[in-house]
Amino acid sequence: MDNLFGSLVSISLGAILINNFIFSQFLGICPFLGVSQKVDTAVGMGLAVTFVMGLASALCYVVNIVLVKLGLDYMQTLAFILVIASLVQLVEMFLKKTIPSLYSALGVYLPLITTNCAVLGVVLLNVQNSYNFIESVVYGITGGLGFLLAIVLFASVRERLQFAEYPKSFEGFPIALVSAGLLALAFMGFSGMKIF
Amino acid sequence: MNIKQQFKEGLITNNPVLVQLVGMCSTMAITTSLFNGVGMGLSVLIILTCCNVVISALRKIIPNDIRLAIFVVIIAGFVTIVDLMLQAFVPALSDALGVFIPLIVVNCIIMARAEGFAQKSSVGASLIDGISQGLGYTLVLIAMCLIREFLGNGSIGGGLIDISNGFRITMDGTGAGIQVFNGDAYGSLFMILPLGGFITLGCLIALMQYLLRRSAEKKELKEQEAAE
Amino acid sequence: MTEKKSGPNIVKLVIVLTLVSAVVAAILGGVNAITKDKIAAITEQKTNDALAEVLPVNEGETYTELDYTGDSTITHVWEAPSGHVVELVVSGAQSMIDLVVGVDNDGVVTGVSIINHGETPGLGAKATESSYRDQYIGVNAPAAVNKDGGSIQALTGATITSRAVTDAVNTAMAAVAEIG
Repeated sequence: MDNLFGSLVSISLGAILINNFIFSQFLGICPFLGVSQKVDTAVGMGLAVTFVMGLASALCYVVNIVLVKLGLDYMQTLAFILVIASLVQLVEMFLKKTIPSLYSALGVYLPLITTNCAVLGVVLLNVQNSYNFIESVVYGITGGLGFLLAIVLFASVRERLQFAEYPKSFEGFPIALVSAGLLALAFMGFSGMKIF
Repeated sequence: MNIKQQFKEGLITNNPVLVQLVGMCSTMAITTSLFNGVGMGLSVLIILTCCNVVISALRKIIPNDIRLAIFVVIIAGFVTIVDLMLQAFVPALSDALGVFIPLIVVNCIIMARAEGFAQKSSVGASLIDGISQGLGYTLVLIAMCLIREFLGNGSIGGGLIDISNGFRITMDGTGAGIQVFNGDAYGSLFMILPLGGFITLGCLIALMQYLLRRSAEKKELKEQEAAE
Repeated sequence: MTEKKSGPNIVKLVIVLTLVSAVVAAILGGVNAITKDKIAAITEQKTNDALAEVLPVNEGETYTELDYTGDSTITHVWEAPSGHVVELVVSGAQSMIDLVVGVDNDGVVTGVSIINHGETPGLGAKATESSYRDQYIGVNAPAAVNKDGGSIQALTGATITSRAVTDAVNTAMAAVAEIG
């Protein structure tokens, strides 16, 4: 039990801070740059991603067991992306019917999540690191939280960037990338941090 | 649209990474040695071209409502084929790129070209589009690799070029590259780290915006002169 | 386009999607059949090369896999006439490092080889270079990197990776001592 707890804590810390999906693994950069103009929308996107990543980790863990049993593990990528795509669709329909307020807050981001490489990335990494069910789900959720942290931090930086002066050629994405790089530098301070 | 125009768009004026701003995850993640960059670029080039051709050939029979699902299945199929082929025949590249090969499935370049071009163009045009966009992506990867590897490690062509025994191209990723200066002592480490990826790509896009803006201004100036 | 005004015909959509998926699955099955043996052979070759590198055996001698359940980072243990080889998966700075450690019958490390890793290129990835790995050859007591007062020269900028590899070597030595 102790061992499991220890491994969960180190997985969580790893996913949120040390190996942050955005800043050290480069997964999910497109929505990270696309939906980070405002803090509010960034929070919405981050929450939606966290939700889907947790669910996808759990589902794909089961799917993977079935695939391995059938000797079809070469179909992983195909199966996972289909699971994620249908999951996003289901979540969208479910939210629309049951919690319309949450749907109106997250709705617009949901379709974008299918092509978010952080989601496919987390399920592939679960398999690669041979995590068990609980570890997979925790890695999925904390990976999403890491994404949330990164995108919210970055959105607040970008809001202030509007008032900054920089060369005209850097307008838009370039200056965003450079500031993301500086944030990545800050996150490097966590590298190698270990508790257990 | 003619072929020359398509290539010009893919490589420069509508470059997938520098102008359309898609497919940035892999552009930053794997560009630490030329071997990775060329390998990744060619993999995407092949997958993109195949997907474009197949999707364009099937464009009349794919129902509009589920076209995205079908695109995803086709893309995932080609990615898996390339993944298995690399594992079997170029294991060094498969090791180096790791999870980023299966992640080509969600590389926005392929989806963007399928949705934005292949599903409404002829097979021939889609083929050319796949090749030119793929080449544009590869070129950016190579530029990123050259810059980051040179500044960070002091070498050119790591993994791909071996000069210890005469010049040759190594396909197994073992070549040490051409060491220009002592990377351990003078290389700036941060270029190899994630930070270097963000900053290099930022500067490349800025350079592209500068060049595009300048050529647009020149054009405008000429038109003004002509008008006068 | 086959779009109808009365809305999509669900049955038709499902049939088309199933057909496309079936065709893709069939093609993948074919590709898999061609590449499967090749990939298995490459994986086996890699392990064998690593084993032979860290603990060479004479002609005719083989490695026998032992059943080991002890430290959770140890994935395989092989026994050869001249010693043991331990395969471990430990967490490095960025990734899981999969490595094998050879220990001879006197408890002395005969070699370390890294099978798979995802450490930062140019930093932690340098752990795969023989100039670094060879430092462990001949170690017979728990080792430590120079920053921790030991004799192993840690990689520049990659102390974490160096510590992880050093710890793995120590774990392997302890496990072999325990097996006897």
